[in-house]
Amino acid sequence: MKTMIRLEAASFSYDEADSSKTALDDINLEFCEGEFIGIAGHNGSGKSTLAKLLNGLLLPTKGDVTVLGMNTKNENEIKEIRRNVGMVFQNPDNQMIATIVEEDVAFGPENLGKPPYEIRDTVDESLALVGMAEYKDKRPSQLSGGQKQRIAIAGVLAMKPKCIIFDESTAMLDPQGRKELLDTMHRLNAEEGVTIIHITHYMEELITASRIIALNEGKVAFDKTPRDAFSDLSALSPLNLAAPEVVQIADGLKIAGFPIEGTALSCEELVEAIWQLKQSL
Amino acid sequence: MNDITVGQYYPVDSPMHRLDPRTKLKGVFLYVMGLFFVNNLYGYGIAFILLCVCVACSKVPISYVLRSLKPILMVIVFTSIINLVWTQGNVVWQMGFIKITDSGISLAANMAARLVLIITGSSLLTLTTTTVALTDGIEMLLRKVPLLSKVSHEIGMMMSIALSFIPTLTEELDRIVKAQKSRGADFESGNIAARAKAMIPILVPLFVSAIQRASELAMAMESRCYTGGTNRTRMKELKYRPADHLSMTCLVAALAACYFTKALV
Ligand SMILES: Nc1ncnc2c1ncn2[C@@H]1O[C@H](COP(=O)(O)OP(=O)(O)OP(=O)(O)O)[C@@H](O)[C@H]1O
Ligand SMILES: [Mg+2]
Repeated sequence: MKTMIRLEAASFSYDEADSSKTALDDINLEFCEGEFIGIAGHNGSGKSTLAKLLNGLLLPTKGDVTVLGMNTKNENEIKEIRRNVGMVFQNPDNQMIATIVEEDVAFGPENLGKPPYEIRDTVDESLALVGMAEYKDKRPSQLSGGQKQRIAIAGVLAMKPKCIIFDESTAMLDPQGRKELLDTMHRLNAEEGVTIIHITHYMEELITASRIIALNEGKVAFDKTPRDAFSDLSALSPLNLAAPEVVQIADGLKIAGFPIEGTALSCEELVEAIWQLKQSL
Repeated sequence: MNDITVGQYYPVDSPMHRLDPRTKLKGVFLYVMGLFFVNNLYGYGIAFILLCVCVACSKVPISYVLRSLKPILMVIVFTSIINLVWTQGNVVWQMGFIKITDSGISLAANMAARLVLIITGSSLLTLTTTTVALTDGIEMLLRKVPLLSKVSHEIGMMMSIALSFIPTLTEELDRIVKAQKSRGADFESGNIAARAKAMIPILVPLFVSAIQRASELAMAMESRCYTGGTNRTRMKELKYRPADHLSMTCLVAALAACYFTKALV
């Protein structure tokens, strides 16, 4: 798999005077094209800082971040880096630039200097991809939070990025909005081959990720597949992370003396495991 | 937010909506300037008919257009009364020390007519033009103004963002007021000084939140490759069409007619 983003000994400190107070400390990571990566960690563990390093909104105080071979410190390539790595933030209200949906989606390609007819096409395409084509003339204030987030995604998609970072983009949504947004992410990942980096506090959103990276005090605590991550719950609690409900139920059953095989990640898997256990008894 | 029509777009498709924003901006500018030269009934008649034609072309309901007058209704009434009683001239009606003069009546009528026409005229601009088109138009027009041409993009961007943040900040203000009230803050009683002081716990959080939002928005803009006005294209390019030239010509002709009504009286 081709490397999308690589962090090499990257550290970051918000305090210029005292660089020993690091928000991120010596991070080595590699994100590959087509992956669906989940990033978790408690408040202040450095998730947003990491996200901002990935598209050059912040530059590492030590070490390097390279996107498709381009160093984020190289000012000439920063536009190309940001075109390839889009970002959707937490608060949908603070990322709407224009007052009409389609104008907002057009903002990215306009900045890239694309010709008008091409922008028109990409805007329509991107809105269709997130299922918001019929809202193109609406005002953002007329939309629900989940719809606004999908517009924000369309705005990023209009730049034809290879990777999209979602920084707690599901946090302000209700369960229905969260589910829709998550479905959109997975669809983009599977059908369009977009690399997704999803930062969240909800561990159940990461069950279907290809990898989970947990941050703690600016360091990588672990980098595992969901199955490995949830098979050892004792590793989660010191990081202040709560395992998904299904995993907790399975764990509870194990503690109560029912030796369930493997790590069930979904309801179906848990039912299957319990069934198997019942048959073996 | 419910009462402010200036800055509120009314989304329908009409000949007025389709006009180039630059035409509309120049038109409103000329119209407002022109009104200051009008001083007789015929002139106002033409200006009024012109406005009615524009409203009809815009497909915006009359009630919507008139709503823009509500916030300044008091101002109009107040200035009219002042003009009525304070102007020297031939007395036509007197009660005690209140004298109403003929020139007072004409001045009051002039001012009221002007204000009404100016406000409805300019709110028609914002009702039929999206803020994006409006700021684009201003940006393009400023490019031709000598001293402002270098910063025309920045000015356009600033206006557009300010406008799009109005609803968000209004909501925020509402929330803060409720939050402070629920903590027992009192905004209604006391003298002016006490009331002004009571505003501080509202304004400080509002400013803090506005600055936070602005910094987040800046991040969002940067991550969408914004680097200022250079090398930036637009999805909807502004282009004058025959309709723009036609309406500009009609407007100039109508305003000229307004001006020459002076000769009639
Ligand atoms: N603009 C800033 N200036 C100074 N320090 C900051 C700034 N932003 C974040 N920090 C600090 O950097 C550390 C990491 O913050 P970061 O925002 O990356 O955490 P996070 O994991 O995204 O948290 P959350 O879950 O609350 O979003 C925190 O200790 C925080 O106090
Ligand atoms: Mg964060």
